[in-house]
Amino acid sequence: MSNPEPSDVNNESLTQKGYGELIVYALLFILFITSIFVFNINLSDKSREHTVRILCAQHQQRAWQKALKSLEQARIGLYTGQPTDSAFIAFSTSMKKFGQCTIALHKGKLLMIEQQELNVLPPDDEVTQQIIASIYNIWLSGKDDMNRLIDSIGKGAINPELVEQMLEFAVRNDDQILDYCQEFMVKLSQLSDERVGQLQTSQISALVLSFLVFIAMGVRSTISLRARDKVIDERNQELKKQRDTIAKEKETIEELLGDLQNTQTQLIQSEKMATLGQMVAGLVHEVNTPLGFIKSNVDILKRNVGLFEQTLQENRLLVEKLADGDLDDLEAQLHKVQELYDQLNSYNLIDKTNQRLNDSIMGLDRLSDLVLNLKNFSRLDEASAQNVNINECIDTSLLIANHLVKNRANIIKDYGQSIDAECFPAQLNQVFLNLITNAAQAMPVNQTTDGKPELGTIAIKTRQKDGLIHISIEDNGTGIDPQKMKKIFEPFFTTKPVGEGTGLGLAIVYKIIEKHAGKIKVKSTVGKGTRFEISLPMKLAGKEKFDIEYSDLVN
Amino acid sequence: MEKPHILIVDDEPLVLASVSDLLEFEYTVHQSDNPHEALSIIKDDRYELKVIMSDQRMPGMYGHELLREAKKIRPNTIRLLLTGYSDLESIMYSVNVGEIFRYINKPWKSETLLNVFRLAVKLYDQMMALDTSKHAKKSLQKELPEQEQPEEVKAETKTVLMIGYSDKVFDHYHSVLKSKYNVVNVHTTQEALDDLKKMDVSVIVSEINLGITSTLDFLIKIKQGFPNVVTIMLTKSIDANFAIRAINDLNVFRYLTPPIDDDEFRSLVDEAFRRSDEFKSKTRLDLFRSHKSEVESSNSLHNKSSDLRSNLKAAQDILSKKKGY
Repeated sequence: MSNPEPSDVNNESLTQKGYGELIVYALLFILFITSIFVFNINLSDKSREHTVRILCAQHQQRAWQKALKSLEQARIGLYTGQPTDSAFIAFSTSMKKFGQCTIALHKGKLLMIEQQELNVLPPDDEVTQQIIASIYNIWLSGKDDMNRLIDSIGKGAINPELVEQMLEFAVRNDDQILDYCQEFMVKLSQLSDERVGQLQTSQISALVLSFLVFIAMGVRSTISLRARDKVIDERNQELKKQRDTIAKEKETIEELLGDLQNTQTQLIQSEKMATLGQMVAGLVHEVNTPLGFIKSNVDILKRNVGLFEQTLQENRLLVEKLADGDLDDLEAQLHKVQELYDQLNSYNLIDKTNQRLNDSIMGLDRLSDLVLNLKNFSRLDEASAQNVNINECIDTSLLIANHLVKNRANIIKDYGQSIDAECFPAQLNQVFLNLITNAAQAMPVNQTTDGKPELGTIAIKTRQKDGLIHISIEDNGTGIDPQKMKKIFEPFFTTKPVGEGTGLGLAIVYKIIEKHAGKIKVKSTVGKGTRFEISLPMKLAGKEKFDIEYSDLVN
Repeated sequence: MEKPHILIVDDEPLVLASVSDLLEFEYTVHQSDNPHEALSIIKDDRYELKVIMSDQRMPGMYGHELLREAKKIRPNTIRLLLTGYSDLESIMYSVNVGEIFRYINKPWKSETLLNVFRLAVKLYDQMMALDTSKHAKKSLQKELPEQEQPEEVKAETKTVLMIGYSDKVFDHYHSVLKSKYNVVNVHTTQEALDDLKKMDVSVIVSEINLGITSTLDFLIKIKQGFPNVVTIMLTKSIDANFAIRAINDLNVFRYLTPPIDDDEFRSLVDEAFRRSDEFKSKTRLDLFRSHKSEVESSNSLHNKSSDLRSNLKAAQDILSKKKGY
């Protein structure tokens, strides 16, 4: 399975990069928008200044015209004797106004025009500056006279000469000033037009730039998305791979599980074979010994019968010789017979022949008992639950285990009355054989000094109480380590060397008892011995009556 | 002439009775169903026990243990094992601990048993003859203590033939034995035969699996051709029937499975050499060549009439002896 982490990291950085780019684009966009705004604000500021200048210039022009007109009226008044005060006042007011406007346009100044405060700034291009400078210069040249006249007007002592002088100055410069004013205003409006053009250009270019940025952003996003798609595709492929791997692993696990089940079946089979092998090994000995002496006895009998036959024959010859009155050979024949009788007697052959015959019959009885027991033990002909005497089951198992037990332990039986239970006897036999065998094997190897072997004890007790059969199998062997006690019923737990125990014996015992709706308990003290207690119901409930298959004995 | 004394031990009285009846025409049969009682019979020096036959599994003591004790007390008495089990463990014990002459399975054949006993008694008599001559020799040597160990001097000529081991395994055993013996390694039976003809081989250490030929058959043939050679089987392949044949037909000295302790191995080889020297000192008796055929004929036993005839003959012999007496 491949490691998904690197692609995650990669993806994260990619996402970060994407967001970074987005921020850059956003900043660019904001920058453009802001710069356009700044530019526009700047331009509109300038436009306002322009407007103020134009307004100021109009005032200037009007003030000039009004001043000239008022001065002409005042002169006419002087000559005609008409009141001239208002005309002079209008003149001085207008002339002051003109002067203020001119100074403001030339040098910049805060002006009050028609109750409106206007901040007039000097023009920022050369042509208008020159024009206004020309006006300013003209105004400056007549400034002193103007002030004197205005002063005299204020005092009420008007000097007609000064008026004449002023008028002449005004008339002389009137055209020029008006021209300049006109030109100034035309120039200003031209500038305004230019500014409008600039504004439009800037707005259009900003729009175009924004559009470009947007396009760039789009392109970049597409690329990013494509990259993202690619990553997702890769990730999907990886996922698919992983899924394939998982599927393969699942297959492997299933195979392993199958193998495990096979192994378990084999192990159960091998436990069966081990039990069978144990049985066979025991039986072989149990059979071989009587078979051995029976065979030997038959040979002895044959030999002895030969001798008897010979004796009989010689006897018959003796009788014949007696009957025939053949006395010559009679004595020799008598000796011959006597010799044979001596021979028979010295070995006590007749008694021994009978003994060997009886021995052989005993041996044959033992053999037939064995065969019967074997049949009882395996119960091959019984597939369903039987009502069986448990004591007999234990006896059968004891006989099968005899070869193992007899060198190691004495059996003390304490059987109760009417110990019948509905059960699968072949399986219970397996339980008893297993427990008895274990008990025998738990006996320490007997080292004896005198003639009597030190045997252990296996006590087997059966009782019936409250519809339950209680069976206890107790040994005084080595006992079980408390740490191992928990595990003894677990499959594959064994204390025997590798190859000797399958570790399934007690696990199968447990399952068999469980299937019989019974209980099994174990108590053990190291060095003192172990006791297994089994309780079985006398009647099986319906579902347990079906045959128990070995295959479900180990889960 | 007194019948030879023999001892039979079995925890089953019916077996004792039967075997005793079978043998009593030819032997004075002592019997016991208890190995401890049997030991006291063995210790009793009123009789010259020539053969002991024991059961393997008895309460209190194993047959091979009894026979080991018997060997300590009466080293020349021939030991036999009669057993209903042919589990490998008892077989290995019987050869390596009990050093038995024959391993007889229950159920036994009467004729085989009779033949084995006759052979065993014959062997015992030969051993004793050898022993007395040895004693004579020893008493001579006592007078000349300087020449007591002439065998050690010619140690270089002692040859151990190892058959069927890989070079690596051989190198190890070689390093264990080379200080005392000339150790030769061969891989095939043909090479082994060539070396046996060329050299004076006393001890063979053999593996079992040597390719197509049955190694055991080969070794049995070698034993017939070179009766003084003592054989040690050192192999991982262990098989009950094979081991029984190795005991009964090859008279194998030890049947071992590796790994084996180096010192133990060296001392076993030493012992094998002593055994071989014993055989060499009584070359006039071609013991193994002859008894082999006897046992084989008893094993085959196809014509029972001949058994009967021989039994009758035995009985008649006794009768005629009595008559003559």
